[in-house]
Amino acid sequence: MKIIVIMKQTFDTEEKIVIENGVIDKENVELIINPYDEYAIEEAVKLKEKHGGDVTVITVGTDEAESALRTALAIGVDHAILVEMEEDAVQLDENGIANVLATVIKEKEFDLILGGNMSVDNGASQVGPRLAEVLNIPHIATITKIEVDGKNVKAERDAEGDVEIIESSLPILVTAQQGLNEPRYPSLPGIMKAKKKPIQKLSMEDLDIEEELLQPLSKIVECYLPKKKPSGRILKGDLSNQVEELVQLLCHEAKVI
Amino acid sequence: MTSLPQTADVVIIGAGLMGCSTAYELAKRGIKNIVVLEKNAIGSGATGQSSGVLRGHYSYPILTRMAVQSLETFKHAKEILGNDVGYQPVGYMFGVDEENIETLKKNVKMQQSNGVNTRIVSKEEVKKEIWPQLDTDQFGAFAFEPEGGYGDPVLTNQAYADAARALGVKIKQYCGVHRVITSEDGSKVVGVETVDGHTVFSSCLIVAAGIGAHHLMKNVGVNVPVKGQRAQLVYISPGTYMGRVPSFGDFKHDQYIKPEVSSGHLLLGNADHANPQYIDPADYDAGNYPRHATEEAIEKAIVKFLSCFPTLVQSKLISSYSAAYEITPDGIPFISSTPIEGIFLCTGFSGHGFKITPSVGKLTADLVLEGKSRQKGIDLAPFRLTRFEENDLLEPEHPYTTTVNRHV
Ligand SMILES: Cc1cc2nc3c(=O)[nH]c(=O)nc-3n(C[C@H](O)[C@H](O)[C@H](O)COP(=O)(O)OP(=O)(O)OC[C@H]3O[C@@H](n4cnc5c(N)ncnc54)[C@H](O)[C@@H]3O)c2cc1C
Repeated sequence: MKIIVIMKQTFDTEEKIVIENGVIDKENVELIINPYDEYAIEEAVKLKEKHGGDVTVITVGTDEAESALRTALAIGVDHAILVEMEEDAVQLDENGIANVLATVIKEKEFDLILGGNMSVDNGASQVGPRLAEVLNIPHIATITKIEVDGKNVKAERDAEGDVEIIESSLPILVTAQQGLNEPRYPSLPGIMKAKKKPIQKLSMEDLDIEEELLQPLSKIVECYLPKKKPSGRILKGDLSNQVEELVQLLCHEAKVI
Repeated sequence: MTSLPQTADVVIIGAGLMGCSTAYELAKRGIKNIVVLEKNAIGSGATGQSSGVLRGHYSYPILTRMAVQSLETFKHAKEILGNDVGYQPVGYMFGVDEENIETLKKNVKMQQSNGVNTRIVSKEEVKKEIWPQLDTDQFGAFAFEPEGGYGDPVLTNQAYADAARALGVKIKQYCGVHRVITSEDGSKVVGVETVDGHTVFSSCLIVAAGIGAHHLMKNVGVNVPVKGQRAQLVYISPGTYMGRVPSFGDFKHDQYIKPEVSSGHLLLGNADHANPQYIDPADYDAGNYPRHATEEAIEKAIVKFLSCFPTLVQSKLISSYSAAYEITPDGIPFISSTPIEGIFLCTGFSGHGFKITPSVGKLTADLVLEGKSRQKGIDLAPFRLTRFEENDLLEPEHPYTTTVNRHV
């Protein structure tokens, strides 16, 4: 089975994030593989281990994204492709990225494309489905289970708390939801070997994509941190007093009643 | 929460290990109105990032004596402080290359004569009894301290804070000190002003603010040469159950390894300080410094680890992080008076403060109350601020040749 994983490098949202003039300060952020893409990589490697074949991971990003590709190689991915963007290049939106990925993937043989169901930085959940549209293949989003039997695919997807069971066939694109698997940690020898594996680098010029396909269809208007929560208050006194005070506060201060 | 008093007998800036152990010792000696001001939370500085390795192995006799004195508190924390501090006597092993065998022997002798339970162990014994997976062939010799190992710096910090509070010390968290106030002529301390504009008057101030000591003191005209030095650490799973293994100071490869008893994971720390990466105290204060390890640092750690444990091919990278040591130019702390009457320093523990915390609290209390050490065999002179201008630095008795390591 030929498997392709689309992957994005993001900053770690568990770290302190500084926004300056509407942009995230990249100085001290830690760059990681988008956590949902980690599930996709893990599933790809598991499917390869079960069915044979190989896994190619593709990312669109600056040369910094090489480290994310190396991590994927260390985990067990076979080939890595970096579509290299200049740091100051015009930012592509999800439509542009999907078209770039489609251009690369069209040239390849594949049975299954895996991606994360969203990226933790922009959270658009669009690249996967858009890519499937451009490639004209079916897709199943937010899966928590997948079985491949010959050409047949059976997946469970998380539909806002419900589980939907969907059957389809290869070639297909699926996006991973939390719960799909437990991503493995890379082995130390694996990390060292991955340092030496080749990474195929493509530039935007190499791909020669029509301008029109890269035009952003959306733009980020504003970027801000969530408001700080005011500190809580512990009510004192006997129970009936506390209840009375709470009702007062809910009516007059919080104004929720 | 108690509100901030207007006056205090002693004000301590910083509720890390050193601020809290000092507060506890002072309170124990009857000082009543002690206020500790902490800009974040207890243990949020270097203490919260500490590996917590415990050893008596130093090449400086005075530091060995401080570690020996301190070990008693780690061993009997429950009785002394009232709380457990996560002491894990997994043992501490120290390994050197061929060139340093003689130095190791001399240091072990020095340590034994200062009360460390330590001895030279043969490679065969290490292989059989201590760490079968370690490739002992590359090493010259080993020493082993069965009572070494590690403790939990955050639990230790909390235990000191709780014990201090029980004796009446007020610890104010999220209450940063904006500046130190001195008399008009700058000769005496008057008090401190907090970030939110309160003033606490006091004629006695202990600056236990870690890296933060630098600019607090700069603002009153005293140069305290302490800065941040990036420390990069890597957590791994050995991929196999290894049983009880010790903390290991590997001075062949300049790394240290700390086992985590509960998970079986290992913490890999770098001990090669040849090319230090410094963090400006102002950046450190603002939290603007990297919290993740670089790829190069991770790779270095992996190469060193695999060269020591070549059979552990199933070992896995769990996580990595980056922290900051409060480093002084000679790696020796400041427990010192200052040119300003009433201001004392207790900072700059340069990556090895945890294991001497109990001793430091006692020494700082001695300094503040009596102007000199009352701890046997531990003179305060090596820790004075003026040692650099006087060109009188503490030297190790038997320095190791291979390491660029001031922490040993
Ligand atoms: C990565 C790492 C590993 C280590 N490993 C070991 C080890 O294995 N063994 C060992 O013995 N030692 C180790 N150490 C060293 C040891 O942990 C430190 O020396 C010790 O924790 C220092 O304690 P401290 O109280 O001096 O500093 P800190 O813990 O930094 O405390 C200083 C406090 O002052 C506060 N502060 C600063 N400025 C202000 C201000 N203006 N107002 C109010 N508060 C302020 C800070 O918020 C902080 O909480 C390690 C250290 C690090 C960083």
